[in-house]
Amino acid sequence: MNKLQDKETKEKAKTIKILYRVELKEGESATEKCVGCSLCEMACSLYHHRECNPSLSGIKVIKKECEWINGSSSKIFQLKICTQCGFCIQFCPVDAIRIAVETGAVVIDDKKCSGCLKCIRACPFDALWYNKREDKIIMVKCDLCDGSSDGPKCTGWCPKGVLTLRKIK
Amino acid sequence: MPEVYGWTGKRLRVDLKNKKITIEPLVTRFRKKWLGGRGFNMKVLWDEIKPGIDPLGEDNVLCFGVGPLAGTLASTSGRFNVSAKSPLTGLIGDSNCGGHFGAALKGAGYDQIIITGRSEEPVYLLIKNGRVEIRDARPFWGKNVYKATVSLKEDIGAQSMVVCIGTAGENLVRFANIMAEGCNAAGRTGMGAVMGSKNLKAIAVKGTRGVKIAEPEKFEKLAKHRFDELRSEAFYKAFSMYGTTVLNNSEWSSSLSQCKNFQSWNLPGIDKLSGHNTLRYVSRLKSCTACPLSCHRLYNILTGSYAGDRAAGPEFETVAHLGYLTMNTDLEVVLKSNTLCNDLGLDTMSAGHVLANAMEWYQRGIITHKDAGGVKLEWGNGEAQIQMIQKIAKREGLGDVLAEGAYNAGRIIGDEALRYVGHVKGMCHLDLRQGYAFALSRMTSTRGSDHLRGDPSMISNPEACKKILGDSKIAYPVTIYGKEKMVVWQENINVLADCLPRCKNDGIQYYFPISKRVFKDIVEILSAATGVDWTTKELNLIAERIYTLEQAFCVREGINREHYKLSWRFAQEPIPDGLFKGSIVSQKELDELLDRYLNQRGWNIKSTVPTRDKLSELDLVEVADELDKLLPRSSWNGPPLDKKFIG
Repeated sequence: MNKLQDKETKEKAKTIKILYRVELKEGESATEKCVGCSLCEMACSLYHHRECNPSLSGIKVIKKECEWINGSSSKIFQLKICTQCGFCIQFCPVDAIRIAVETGAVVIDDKKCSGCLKCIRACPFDALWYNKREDKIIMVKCDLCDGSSDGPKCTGWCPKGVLTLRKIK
Repeated sequence: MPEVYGWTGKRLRVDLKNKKITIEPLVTRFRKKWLGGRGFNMKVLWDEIKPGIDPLGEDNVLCFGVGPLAGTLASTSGRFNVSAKSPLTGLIGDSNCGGHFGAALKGAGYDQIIITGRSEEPVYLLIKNGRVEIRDARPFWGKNVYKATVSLKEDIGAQSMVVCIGTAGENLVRFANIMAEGCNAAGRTGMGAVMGSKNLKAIAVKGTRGVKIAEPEKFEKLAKHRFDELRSEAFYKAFSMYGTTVLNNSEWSSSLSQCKNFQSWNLPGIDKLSGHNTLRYVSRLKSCTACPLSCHRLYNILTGSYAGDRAAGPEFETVAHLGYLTMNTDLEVVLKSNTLCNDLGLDTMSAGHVLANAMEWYQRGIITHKDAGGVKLEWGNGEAQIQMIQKIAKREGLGDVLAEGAYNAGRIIGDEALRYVGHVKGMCHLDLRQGYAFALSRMTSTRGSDHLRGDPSMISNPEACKKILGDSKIAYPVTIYGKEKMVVWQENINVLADCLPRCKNDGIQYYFPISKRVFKDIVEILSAATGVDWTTKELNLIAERIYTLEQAFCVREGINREHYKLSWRFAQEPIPDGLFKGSIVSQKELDELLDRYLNQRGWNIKSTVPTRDKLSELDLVEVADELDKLLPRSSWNGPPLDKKFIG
């Protein structure tokens, strides 16, 4: 069973000079700056799916505001976004996951995807999701907005400058 | 069915008596006529609430409404309106609230929830997209807001957004509020008591259906433009740090320092309550959905008598009502009072009013400390304030009378008490002797004296008046000149803000400059979201329509021209000290101004009833027909009180 990309893509991947991912500026402590506005979620889903819908956003703001009632307010918003590590690729039984040549983003081809959700179970960062529409599975993850020249939508929309696009290779 | 953009085109109707849930379509014509949020709610209130019913009885109808921009990228669009007949005033009950519930309701697929009847047992409503259930809330009844919110989420999942009432709402305190996620309040007019009267503890929503946008690229561009505009405003930094407590800083506090139930404007030690001092307790900033302003704060009290206390806020109005008005300059007492109100589920403003009135009654010997169960209701007595807030929520002793709200408590105690209550139509706000613009807007507010219906932000700003109204002279506060135009303009834009939704802090009222393009900006973003071609003329008509319908509702409940009179202190006593020393408004001048206002609105000058001509212009002929049929009715005198207080 061929779990890896085809030869052509693998060759192309070797030529990628630059890899990106969207990160929290200043690491984990940046979540303290997040104000839970969800503008990143709205902007991401609008760009990719033409609707404002956090459940279709490749970045998630997990709200745990009530934790503040019982304890500290430092972790009431948790941001989750794909780190483009590519760990999920090997688990896809139908080779629907590939690396985009321009950005190095890990991208799921919806046409090939069979909706088995093995990638979601495999993801070490809980940064991969799905949404069900009329019995169709839509996979949801960060794709760095197809390398658009404005940069990823979420980093442009965050009012507190929590997110940054970082080159990692 | 053709695609609907912005709105969902559906609403939920929940009959708590028969435990019936139905989904109703909201057709294009309806949506174009009423826009959303407050507009949808007011239409239901007019159609489904019979005049004269008891707001705490089972015939009241409770609505939660959102607008076409809720749940989208549009700046500050994450709000909702909750409306019913008010238990506090017997007139329009309507409260706008931030947080995340509005966006969640829209994301679940509904533009509105209508709740009728009364459940035999405590229940809560669970909405997860198409799955809507009325569930047993007995395990949560008797819990205050914090515990109830946390336990509900343990039951249904942390990602569902919860609005609930505390024990104050359960005990039908007439100014009980509804708390969203334990942090944001639907504060005024007692909507929490309406929920309590229906045995409805909470509503929990989770939605994954999203909001479709007609022109995504254009919409994003317009939304980004406003986002960038706001963030580049000179005031952005201060506002996103202090929130509304920026008004408690010394640059502003002397123009807002009314205290001692309006007997004075001079509060020694007022700067102890500054925004700067409050900031020292803040642990985190927060925003409502889709808002870059992060004006909301979470605070913690780490040491001292109230160590361990934590809550969201405080807002300027809370500090003004539970600090200035009651002469309490101990910031930690104000914070503790705020925490109590948020957890018990009480409107901080109405709580401050009733306490300030109680303190004046105590000062004048109208009530004694025996009446108050041993509590010494002295000005600035923080412990008394804290104890009394808790007694009010429990309806214990004097708290049972104070739980009726300042105006009704005055009705119960007697004329000598009622004379000191500074109210209009049963609700109180702040002083209105500073000038005619505020005096007018407090008088004409359709939910009773209030700042959010139409306090005009252009006052004392000749440039803004020139740009927006075309006449800089209207800006001068001490004359009545042009004030009707200013207040009508503000009331209309505030209606639209509550329909879209858009937060009034976002260039609608106060804080940020109001652009003369604001109507045009709204037209553009609304058109891009909904795919409907709006015009400013149409939007203005919608605002007029909704405000006029609210007036029709009030008139149907017995409001007439005699209720537009200044209460005793505001009519008789000039402001005795402080920045506005000597300031007074005269009833005679105000009457002249009211005549002009009523003319502009198209309402009858003698009766304040909207005229048939105006109602026809607004496509509300059936309202004119119903108003014509009104029998000679008794004049409004507040909501019906419980038998125990009468005779």
